[in-house]
Amino acid sequence: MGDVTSLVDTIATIEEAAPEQLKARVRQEAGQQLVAIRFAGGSVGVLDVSASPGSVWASVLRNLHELAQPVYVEINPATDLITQVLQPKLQPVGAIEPAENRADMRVEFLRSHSRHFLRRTHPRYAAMLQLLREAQAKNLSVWVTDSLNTHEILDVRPSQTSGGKSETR
Amino acid sequence: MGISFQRARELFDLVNSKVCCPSSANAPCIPFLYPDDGCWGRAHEMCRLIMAAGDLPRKIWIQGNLRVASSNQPTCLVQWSWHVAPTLQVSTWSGDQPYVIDPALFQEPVPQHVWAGIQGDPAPTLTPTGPEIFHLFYAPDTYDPTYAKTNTVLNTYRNELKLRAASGDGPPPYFSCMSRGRGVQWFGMLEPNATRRWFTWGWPASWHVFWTVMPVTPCPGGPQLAWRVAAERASASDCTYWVTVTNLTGDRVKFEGRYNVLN
Repeated sequence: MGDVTSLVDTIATIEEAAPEQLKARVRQEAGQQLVAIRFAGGSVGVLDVSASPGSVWASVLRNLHELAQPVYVEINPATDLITQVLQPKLQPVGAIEPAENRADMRVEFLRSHSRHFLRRTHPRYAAMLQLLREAQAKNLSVWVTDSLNTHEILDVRPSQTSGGKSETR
Repeated sequence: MGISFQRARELFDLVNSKVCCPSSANAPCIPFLYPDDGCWGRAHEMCRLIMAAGDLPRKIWIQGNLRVASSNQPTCLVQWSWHVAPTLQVSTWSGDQPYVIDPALFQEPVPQHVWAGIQGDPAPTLTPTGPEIFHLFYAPDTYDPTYAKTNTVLNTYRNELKLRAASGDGPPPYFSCMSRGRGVQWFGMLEPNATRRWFTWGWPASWHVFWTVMPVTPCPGGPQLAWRVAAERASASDCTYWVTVTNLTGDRVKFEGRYNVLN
Protein backbone atom coordinates (compact mmCIF):
# COMPACT_ATOMS: atom_id res chain seq x y z
CA MET A 1 0.00 0.00 0.00
CA GLY A 2 1.48 3.32 -1.00
CA ASP A 3 1.09 6.55 0.90
CA VAL A 4 -0.30 8.86 -1.80
CA THR A 5 -3.44 8.68 -3.90
CA SER A 6 -3.32 10.65 -7.13
CA LEU A 7 -6.52 11.85 -8.66
CA VAL A 8 -7.59 13.75 -11.77
CA ASP A 9 -11.12 15.10 -11.58
CA THR A 10 -13.23 18.23 -11.71
CA ILE A 11 -14.18 19.92 -8.45
CA ALA A 12 -17.82 19.67 -7.36
CA THR A 13 -17.68 22.05 -4.38
CA ILE A 14 -15.20 23.92 -2.24
CA GLU A 15 -16.27 24.12 1.41
CA GLU A 16 -14.53 27.04 3.07
CA ALA A 17 -14.82 25.37 6.48
CA ALA A 18 -14.02 21.66 6.45
CA PRO A 19 -16.54 19.42 8.30
CA GLU A 20 -15.58 18.28 11.81
CA GLN A 21 -14.93 14.66 10.82
CA LEU A 22 -12.40 15.79 8.22
CA LYS A 23 -10.75 18.14 10.72
CA ALA A 24 -10.43 15.21 13.10
CA ARG A 25 -8.71 13.05 10.45
CA VAL A 26 -6.24 15.83 9.73
CA ARG A 27 -5.74 16.45 13.48
CA GLN A 28 -6.19 20.19 12.95
CA GLU A 29 -3.59 22.32 14.73
CA ALA A 30 -4.05 25.83 16.10
CA GLY A 31 -3.91 28.45 13.37
CA GLN A 32 -4.74 26.06 10.56
CA GLN A 33 -7.63 27.01 8.29
CA LEU A 34 -8.93 23.86 6.66
CA VAL A 35 -10.90 23.87 3.42
CA ALA A 36 -12.61 20.77 1.99
CA ILE A 37 -12.38 20.09 -1.74
CA ARG A 38 -15.09 17.70 -2.96
CA PHE A 39 -14.49 16.14 -6.37
CA ALA A 40 -17.09 15.14 -8.93
CA GLY A 41 -16.18 11.45 -8.53
CA GLY A 42 -16.89 11.54 -4.78
CA SER A 43 -13.35 11.89 -3.39
CA VAL A 44 -12.56 14.57 -0.81
CA GLY A 45 -9.32 16.36 -0.03
CA VAL A 46 -8.46 18.84 2.71
CA LEU A 47 -6.25 21.86 2.30
CA ASP A 48 -4.71 24.10 4.96
CA VAL A 49 -5.03 27.57 3.41
CA SER A 50 -3.48 29.44 6.34
CA ALA A 51 -0.02 29.23 4.76
CA SER A 52 1.85 28.40 1.57
CA PRO A 53 1.63 26.11 -0.34
CA GLY A 54 -2.01 25.50 0.64
CA SER A 55 -3.05 29.12 0.14
CA VAL A 56 -1.56 29.20 -3.36
CA TRP A 57 -2.95 25.77 -4.25
CA ALA A 58 -6.39 26.95 -3.12
CA SER A 59 -6.29 29.94 -5.47
CA VAL A 60 -5.39 27.65 -8.39
CA LEU A 61 -8.11 25.13 -7.43
CA ARG A 62 -10.72 27.91 -7.20
CA ASN A 63 -9.69 29.19 -10.62
CA LEU A 64 -9.92 25.73 -12.23
CA HIS A 65 -13.25 25.09 -10.45
CA GLU A 66 -14.67 28.31 -11.96
CA LEU A 67 -13.51 27.14 -15.39
CA ALA A 68 -14.89 23.61 -14.79
CA GLN A 69 -11.48 22.20 -15.66
CA PRO A 70 -10.05 19.06 -14.07
CA VAL A 71 -7.28 19.24 -11.50
CA TYR A 72 -4.55 16.78 -10.54
CA VAL A 73 -4.13 16.29 -6.80
CA GLU A 74 -2.22 13.91 -4.59
CA ILE A 75 -3.94 13.06 -1.32
CA ASN A 76 -2.58 11.37 1.79
CA PRO A 77 -5.17 8.59 2.32
CA ALA A 78 -4.51 8.50 6.07
CA THR A 79 -5.45 12.14 6.64
CA ASP A 80 -7.16 13.25 3.39
CA LEU A 81 -4.68 16.14 3.24
CA ILE A 82 -3.85 17.32 -0.26
CA THR A 83 -0.08 17.04 -0.70
CA GLN A 84 0.34 18.18 -4.32
CA VAL A 85 -1.67 20.16 -6.87
CA LEU A 86 -0.94 20.25 -10.60
CA GLN A 87 -2.85 21.58 -13.58
CA PRO A 88 -3.85 19.20 -16.43
CA LYS A 89 -3.94 20.79 -19.86
CA LEU A 90 -6.10 19.86 -22.83
CA GLN A 91 -3.61 19.02 -25.56
CA PRO A 92 -3.81 17.89 -29.19
CA VAL A 93 -1.02 15.36 -29.70
CA GLY A 94 1.76 15.90 -32.24
CA ALA A 95 4.89 13.84 -32.81
CA ILE A 96 5.75 10.95 -30.49
CA GLU A 97 9.33 9.81 -30.90
CA PRO A 98 12.20 8.32 -28.90
CA ALA A 99 13.94 10.79 -26.61
CA GLU A 100 17.67 11.41 -26.85
CA ASN A 101 18.31 8.72 -24.21
CA ARG A 102 16.40 6.20 -26.44
CA ALA A 103 14.68 4.74 -23.36
CA ASP A 104 11.94 7.32 -23.00
CA MET A 105 9.56 9.00 -25.44
CA ARG A 106 9.48 12.66 -26.34
CA VAL A 107 5.94 13.88 -26.95
CA GLU A 108 4.98 17.01 -28.83
CA PHE A 109 1.75 18.71 -27.84
CA LEU A 110 0.42 21.15 -30.39
CA ARG A 111 -0.63 23.74 -27.81
CA SER A 112 2.78 23.80 -26.16
CA HIS A 113 6.29 24.72 -27.26
CA SER A 114 7.91 22.94 -24.33
CA ARG A 115 9.44 19.48 -24.67
CA HIS A 116 7.53 16.78 -22.78
CA PHE A 117 8.81 13.33 -21.84
CA LEU A 118 7.08 10.03 -21.15
CA ARG A 119 9.43 8.01 -18.94
CA ARG A 120 9.55 4.24 -19.44
CA THR A 121 9.85 3.90 -15.66
CA HIS A 122 6.35 5.32 -15.12
CA PRO A 123 4.10 2.47 -13.89
CA ARG A 124 1.45 3.36 -16.50
CA TYR A 125 3.91 4.00 -19.34
CA ALA A 126 2.35 1.53 -21.79
CA ALA A 127 -1.25 2.60 -21.15
CA MET A 128 -0.43 6.30 -21.43
CA LEU A 129 1.60 5.76 -24.60
CA GLN A 130 -1.35 3.93 -26.14
CA LEU A 131 -3.73 6.76 -25.19
CA LEU A 132 -1.36 9.32 -26.71
CA ARG A 133 -1.00 7.32 -29.93
CA GLU A 134 -4.76 6.86 -30.24
CA ALA A 135 -5.33 10.57 -29.72
CA GLN A 136 -2.64 11.36 -32.28
CA ALA A 137 -4.18 8.99 -34.86
CA LYS A 138 -7.73 10.27 -34.35
CA ASN A 139 -6.82 13.98 -34.01
CA LEU A 140 -8.24 14.04 -30.49
CA SER A 141 -7.12 16.05 -27.51
CA VAL A 142 -6.20 14.53 -24.16
CA TRP A 143 -5.88 15.95 -20.64
CA VAL A 144 -2.19 15.82 -19.81
CA THR A 145 -0.55 16.47 -16.45
CA ASP A 146 3.19 16.82 -16.32
CA SER A 147 5.70 17.48 -13.57
CA LEU A 148 6.36 21.08 -12.55
CA ASN A 149 9.96 21.44 -13.63
CA THR A 150 11.05 18.55 -15.85
CA HIS A 151 7.84 18.19 -17.86
CA GLU A 152 7.65 14.44 -17.35
CA ILE A 153 4.16 13.20 -18.15
CA LEU A 154 2.42 11.98 -14.98
CA ASP A 155 -1.09 11.41 -16.25
CA VAL A 156 -3.01 11.22 -19.54
CA ARG A 157 -6.82 11.12 -19.77
CA PRO A 158 -9.21 11.15 -22.74
CA SER A 159 -10.86 14.55 -23.05
CA GLN A 160 -14.42 13.20 -23.17
CA THR A 161 -14.26 11.53 -19.75
CA SER A 162 -14.58 13.46 -16.52
CA GLY A 163 -11.86 11.65 -14.62
CA GLY A 164 -12.66 10.47 -11.14
CA LYS A 165 -10.29 7.54 -11.30
CA SER A 166 -7.68 7.31 -8.64
CA GLU A 167 -4.66 5.18 -7.99
CA THR A 168 -2.43 4.56 -5.05
CA ARG A 169 1.31 4.49 -5.30
CA MET B 1 10.84 54.13 -41.22
CA GLY B 2 11.87 52.41 -38.02
CA ILE B 3 11.43 53.72 -34.52
CA SER B 4 14.30 54.80 -32.26
CA PHE B 5 15.93 52.34 -29.89
CA GLN B 6 14.72 54.61 -27.08
CA ARG B 7 11.10 54.11 -28.23
CA ALA B 8 11.66 50.36 -28.48
CA ARG B 9 12.98 50.40 -24.93
CA GLU B 10 9.91 52.36 -23.75
CA LEU B 11 7.67 49.72 -25.32
CA PHE B 12 9.78 46.95 -23.77
CA ASP B 13 9.39 48.62 -20.36
CA LEU B 14 5.65 49.00 -20.97
CA VAL B 15 5.10 45.27 -21.48
CA ASN B 16 7.65 44.25 -18.85
CA SER B 17 5.80 46.36 -16.26
CA LYS B 18 2.99 43.80 -16.53
CA VAL B 19 5.20 41.01 -15.11
CA CYS B 20 3.37 38.69 -12.70
CA CYS B 21 4.29 38.46 -9.04
CA PRO B 22 5.00 34.72 -8.94
CA SER B 23 2.87 33.66 -5.97
CA SER B 24 -0.20 35.78 -6.64
CA ALA B 25 -0.02 36.20 -10.45
CA ASN B 26 -3.26 38.13 -10.75
CA ALA B 27 -4.81 38.90 -14.14
CA PRO B 28 -4.00 40.78 -16.33
CA CYS B 29 -0.32 40.23 -15.52
CA ILE B 30 1.96 38.46 -18.01
CA PRO B 31 3.82 35.37 -16.70
CA PHE B 32 7.26 36.26 -18.09
CA LEU B 33 8.82 34.45 -15.12
CA TYR B 34 7.46 31.10 -16.34
CA PRO B 35 9.64 30.67 -19.44
CA ASP B 36 8.84 26.97 -19.97
CA ASP B 37 5.68 27.44 -22.02
CA GLY B 38 2.96 29.81 -23.18
CA CYS B 39 5.09 32.17 -25.29
CA TRP B 40 2.39 32.57 -27.96
CA GLY B 41 -0.05 33.94 -25.37
CA ARG B 42 2.58 36.32 -24.00
CA ALA B 43 3.50 37.46 -27.51
CA HIS B 44 -0.11 38.15 -28.50
CA GLU B 45 -0.75 40.15 -25.32
CA MET B 46 2.47 42.11 -25.81
CA CYS B 47 1.43 42.95 -29.39
CA ARG B 48 -1.95 44.14 -28.09
CA LEU B 49 -0.26 46.45 -25.59
CA ILE B 50 2.21 47.77 -28.18
CA MET B 51 -0.55 48.44 -30.71
CA ALA B 52 -2.64 50.18 -28.02
CA ALA B 53 0.38 52.45 -27.46
CA GLY B 54 0.25 53.42 -31.15
CA ASP B 55 3.08 51.32 -32.60
CA LEU B 56 2.96 48.42 -35.05
CA PRO B 57 4.80 45.24 -34.04
CA ARG B 58 5.33 42.05 -35.99
CA LYS B 59 6.21 38.61 -34.68
CA ILE B 60 9.19 36.34 -35.19
CA TRP B 61 8.77 32.57 -34.87
CA ILE B 62 11.76 30.27 -34.38
CA GLN B 63 11.76 26.47 -34.77
CA GLY B 64 14.52 24.04 -33.93
CA ASN B 65 16.09 22.07 -31.12
CA LEU B 66 16.02 25.06 -28.79
CA ARG B 67 17.80 25.01 -25.42
CA VAL B 68 18.02 28.25 -23.46
CA ALA B 69 19.71 28.85 -20.11
CA SER B 70 17.31 30.50 -17.69
CA SER B 71 17.62 31.33 -14.00
CA ASN B 72 13.81 31.34 -13.88
CA GLN B 73 13.64 27.54 -14.35
CA PRO B 74 14.75 25.37 -11.40
CA THR B 75 16.77 23.12 -13.75
CA CYS B 76 18.39 26.29 -15.21
CA LEU B 77 17.39 25.20 -18.72
CA VAL B 78 14.29 25.48 -20.90
CA GLN B 79 13.85 23.21 -23.92
CA TRP B 80 11.53 24.23 -26.70
CA SER B 81 10.62 23.03 -30.17
CA TRP B 82 9.64 26.57 -31.12
CA HIS B 83 9.29 30.04 -29.65
CA VAL B 84 7.75 33.40 -30.61
CA ALA B 85 8.07 37.03 -29.56
CA PRO B 86 7.08 40.47 -30.95
CA THR B 87 9.48 42.50 -33.09
CA LEU B 88 9.80 46.20 -33.85
CA GLN B 89 11.67 47.82 -36.72
CA VAL B 90 14.39 49.96 -35.13
CA SER B 91 16.46 52.58 -36.97
CA THR B 92 20.18 51.87 -36.68
CA TRP B 93 23.29 53.34 -38.32
CA SER B 94 23.11 50.51 -40.89
CA GLY B 95 19.39 50.90 -41.63
CA ASP B 96 16.22 49.52 -40.09
CA GLN B 97 16.60 46.23 -38.19
CA PRO B 98 14.09 44.00 -36.40
CA TYR B 99 14.54 44.09 -32.62
CA VAL B 100 12.83 41.51 -30.45
CA ILE B 101 10.76 42.35 -27.34
CA ASP B 102 11.10 39.27 -25.12
CA PRO B 103 11.24 39.95 -21.36
CA ALA B 104 11.26 36.18 -20.73
CA LEU B 105 14.80 36.11 -22.15
CA PHE B 106 16.26 39.62 -22.08
CA GLN B 107 16.18 42.84 -20.07
CA GLU B 108 15.94 45.11 -23.11
CA PRO B 109 15.11 44.95 -26.85
CA VAL B 110 17.74 42.94 -28.75
CA PRO B 111 18.51 42.50 -32.46
CA GLN B 112 16.75 39.48 -33.93
CA HIS B 113 20.04 37.65 -34.60
CA VAL B 114 21.01 38.02 -30.93
CA TRP B 115 17.61 36.66 -29.83
CA ALA B 116 17.90 33.68 -32.19
CA GLY B 117 21.57 33.14 -31.36
CA ILE B 118 21.07 32.35 -27.67
CA GLN B 119 18.52 29.61 -28.32
CA GLY B 120 21.04 26.84 -28.83
CA ASP B 121 20.25 25.70 -32.38
CA PRO B 122 22.89 26.73 -34.94
CA ALA B 123 20.44 26.41 -37.84
CA PRO B 124 16.95 27.31 -36.66
CA THR B 125 14.05 28.15 -38.97
CA LEU B 126 12.90 31.76 -38.59
CA THR B 127 9.47 32.85 -39.84
CA PRO B 128 8.33 36.47 -39.55
CA THR B 129 4.57 37.15 -39.50
CA GLY B 130 2.18 39.95 -38.78
CA PRO B 131 0.90 40.47 -35.23
CA GLU B 132 -2.48 38.92 -36.10
CA ILE B 133 -1.07 35.37 -36.16
CA PHE B 134 -1.80 33.87 -32.74
CA HIS B 135 -0.42 30.36 -33.31
CA LEU B 136 1.62 29.55 -36.41
CA PHE B 137 1.81 25.78 -35.89
CA TYR B 138 -1.73 24.77 -34.84
CA ALA B 139 -4.30 25.63 -37.47
CA PRO B 140 -7.41 25.84 -35.23
CA ASP B 141 -5.66 28.55 -33.22
CA THR B 142 -4.17 30.57 -36.09
CA TYR B 143 -6.08 33.74 -35.15
CA ASP B 144 -7.40 35.23 -31.93
CA PRO B 145 -8.93 38.60 -32.75
CA THR B 146 -10.95 38.75 -29.50
CA TYR B 147 -7.99 37.72 -27.29
CA ALA B 148 -10.16 35.02 -25.71
CA LYS B 149 -7.56 32.32 -26.49
CA THR B 150 -4.80 34.67 -25.35
CA ASN B 151 -6.48 35.08 -21.98
CA THR B 152 -6.90 31.31 -21.65
CA VAL B 153 -3.19 30.74 -22.34
CA LEU B 154 -2.14 33.49 -19.94
CA ASN B 155 -4.43 32.10 -17.22
CA THR B 156 -2.98 28.61 -17.65
CA TYR B 157 0.61 29.76 -17.28
CA ARG B 158 -0.15 32.17 -14.43
CA ASN B 159 -1.37 29.06 -12.63
CA GLU B 160 1.82 27.17 -13.53
CA LEU B 161 3.91 30.07 -12.19
CA LYS B 162 1.92 30.07 -8.94
CA LEU B 163 2.26 26.30 -8.50
CA ARG B 164 6.01 26.48 -9.05
CA ALA B 165 6.40 29.43 -6.66
CA ALA B 166 4.53 27.43 -4.00
CA SER B 167 6.76 24.37 -4.46
CA GLY B 168 9.92 23.62 -2.54
CA ASP B 169 11.93 25.50 -5.13
CA GLY B 170 10.12 28.73 -4.30
CA PRO B 171 9.58 31.63 -6.69
CA PRO B 172 12.06 32.54 -9.41
CA PRO B 173 14.92 33.15 -9.79
CA TYR B 174 16.71 29.96 -8.72
CA PHE B 175 19.96 30.38 -6.83
CA SER B 176 21.49 27.20 -8.24
CA CYS B 177 21.40 28.90 -11.66
CA MET B 178 23.01 32.11 -10.38
CA SER B 179 26.52 33.08 -9.38
CA ARG B 180 27.07 35.41 -6.48
CA GLY B 181 28.12 38.73 -7.92
CA ARG B 182 30.69 41.06 -6.42
CA GLY B 183 29.41 42.42 -3.12
CA VAL B 184 26.78 39.69 -2.63
CA GLN B 185 27.30 37.92 0.70
CA TRP B 186 24.32 35.55 0.59
CA PHE B 187 21.08 34.58 -1.11
CA GLY B 188 17.94 34.20 0.98
CA MET B 189 14.21 33.55 0.78
CA LEU B 190 11.44 34.70 3.10
CA GLU B 191 7.94 33.30 3.47
CA PRO B 192 5.00 35.77 3.24
CA ASN B 193 5.07 38.43 5.99
CA ALA B 194 7.92 36.62 7.75
CA THR B 195 10.92 38.07 9.57
CA ARG B 196 14.22 36.23 9.85
CA ARG B 197 17.73 37.08 11.02
CA TRP B 198 21.02 36.18 9.31
CA PHE B 199 24.53 36.70 10.71
CA THR B 200 27.93 36.97 9.07
CA TRP B 201 31.14 36.92 11.08
CA GLY B 202 34.87 37.59 10.77
CA TRP B 203 34.61 41.13 9.40
CA PRO B 204 37.51 43.44 10.35
CA ALA B 205 36.08 45.91 12.81
CA SER B 206 38.16 48.67 11.22
CA TRP B 207 36.14 48.36 8.00
CA HIS B 208 33.06 50.51 7.50
CA VAL B 209 30.65 47.96 6.01
CA PHE B 210 27.28 49.02 4.59
CA TRP B 211 24.58 46.31 4.25
CA THR B 212 21.62 46.32 1.92
CA VAL B 213 19.02 43.75 0.96
CA MET B 214 17.78 43.60 -2.63
CA PRO B 215 14.75 41.54 -3.76
CA VAL B 216 15.50 39.39 -6.81
CA THR B 217 11.92 38.13 -7.20
CA PRO B 218 10.16 40.74 -9.34
CA CYS B 219 6.82 42.00 -7.99
CA PRO B 220 6.02 45.59 -8.97
CA GLY B 221 3.57 47.68 -6.98
CA GLY B 222 5.06 48.29 -3.54
CA PRO B 223 7.99 47.66 -1.21
CA GLN B 224 8.83 43.99 -0.71
CA LEU B 225 11.51 43.91 1.97
CA ALA B 226 12.74 45.95 4.92
CA TRP B 227 15.85 45.24 6.99
CA ARG B 228 17.87 46.41 9.94
CA VAL B 229 21.47 45.74 10.87
CA ALA B 230 22.98 45.11 14.28
CA ALA B 231 26.68 44.71 15.08
CA GLU B 232 28.54 42.58 17.62
CA ARG B 233 32.19 43.18 18.53
CA ALA B 234 33.24 39.54 18.58
CA SER B 235 36.94 40.14 19.34
CA ALA B 236 39.45 42.96 19.52
CA SER B 237 39.82 42.92 15.75
CA ASP B 238 36.65 41.33 14.29
CA CYS B 239 32.92 41.88 14.33
CA THR B 240 29.76 40.02 13.46
CA TYR B 241 26.84 41.63 11.64
CA TRP B 242 23.28 40.53 12.34
CA VAL B 243 20.90 41.40 9.50
CA THR B 244 17.16 41.06 10.20
CA VAL B 245 15.01 40.98 7.07
CA THR B 246 11.21 41.38 6.97
CA ASN B 247 9.01 40.39 4.04
CA LEU B 248 6.39 43.13 3.68
CA THR B 249 4.30 41.18 1.19
CA GLY B 250 1.93 38.23 1.12
CA ASP B 251 4.20 36.43 -1.37
CA ARG B 252 7.45 34.53 -0.95
CA VAL B 253 10.42 36.75 -1.85
CA LYS B 254 14.00 35.82 -2.71
CA PHE B 255 16.78 38.34 -2.21
CA GLU B 256 20.48 39.11 -2.22
CA GLY B 257 22.24 40.21 0.97
CA ARG B 258 24.72 42.80 -0.26
CA TYR B 259 27.66 44.59 1.35
CA ASN B 260 29.87 47.50 0.43
CA VAL B 261 33.12 48.38 2.22
CA LEU B 262 33.13 52.17 2.30
CA ASN B 263 36.66 52.83 3.59
